[in-house]
Amino acid sequence: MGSAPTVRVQLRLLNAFEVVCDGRSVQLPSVAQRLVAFIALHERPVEREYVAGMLWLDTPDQRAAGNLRTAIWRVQTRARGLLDAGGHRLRLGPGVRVDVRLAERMARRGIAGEDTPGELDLLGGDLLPDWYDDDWLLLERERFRQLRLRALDALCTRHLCAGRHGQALEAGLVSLAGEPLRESAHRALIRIHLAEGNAVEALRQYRLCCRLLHDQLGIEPTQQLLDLIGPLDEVKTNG
Amino acid sequence: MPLYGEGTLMRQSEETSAVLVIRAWHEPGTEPGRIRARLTHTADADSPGWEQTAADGEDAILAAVRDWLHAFRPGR
Repeated sequence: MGSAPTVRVQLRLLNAFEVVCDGRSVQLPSVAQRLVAFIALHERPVEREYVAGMLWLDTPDQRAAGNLRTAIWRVQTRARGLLDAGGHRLRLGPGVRVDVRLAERMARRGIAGEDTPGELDLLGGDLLPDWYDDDWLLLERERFRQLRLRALDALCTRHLCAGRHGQALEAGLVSLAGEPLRESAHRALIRIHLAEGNAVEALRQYRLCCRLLHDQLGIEPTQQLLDLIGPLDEVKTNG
Repeated sequence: MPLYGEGTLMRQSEETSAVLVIRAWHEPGTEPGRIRARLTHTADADSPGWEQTAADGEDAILAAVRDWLHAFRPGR
């Protein structure tokens, strides 16, 4: 008897949960989704007891173990190859591609000064942003968020220095969307507009930054921002 | 009615809890040690969605944390 054919499995955790097996999207119930995401976000295989304890916090051990077995069964019957549950420890199946892991590698390479195709698509998304009640996810989400913002800033600067203004702008806008109160992100966008000779857009960005700082923090922009916009002083004071 | 199964709650507890996430950063060009922060919080852990505020400087950030604690305090 030959072995079962290999299934190509992709797990997407950025923006929303999705499992794709051989190009086909597979629906999993929410309990199974949480199990898969929890396993995927651990670098190493995870003990069954630990998984059950973390996912069913307030449930007696025996019942939590039963819930885990049911969740595993649901994953394995709907998405063959996604989960390796052969032993005491759980891990993703061999060859499962996880988008957030790929994004992390891209982000680290980007911070180190390396260009990788498609990085902007992957770095634009947060880790399961709608899962607000999963404590185990919070730190992982924030850690990835910090990493991707740093990578986006580095990417923006690199494109700007190379004169690739359109790409710099794209990266800068995605970075700013991550935290609209960061003056450094506004400054990067203003630099791009000024490098393109687009004073109107530079001023528009400056005014947007001033309004956000005033409305949400009750403060004025830093001297660095004022210096950057200084040459356009006449229009600035009229704004 | 089954307590556990597809689509049912994973946690069943009488405990009340809430979440506060503080994202702090130092803005280049501001005085050394000065931080700004975005505070994202739930009214309680089972409430859908998040609310956000922002604060500039340590005192303002601590005040925002205190406000959140006071708003969450059981019995209020």
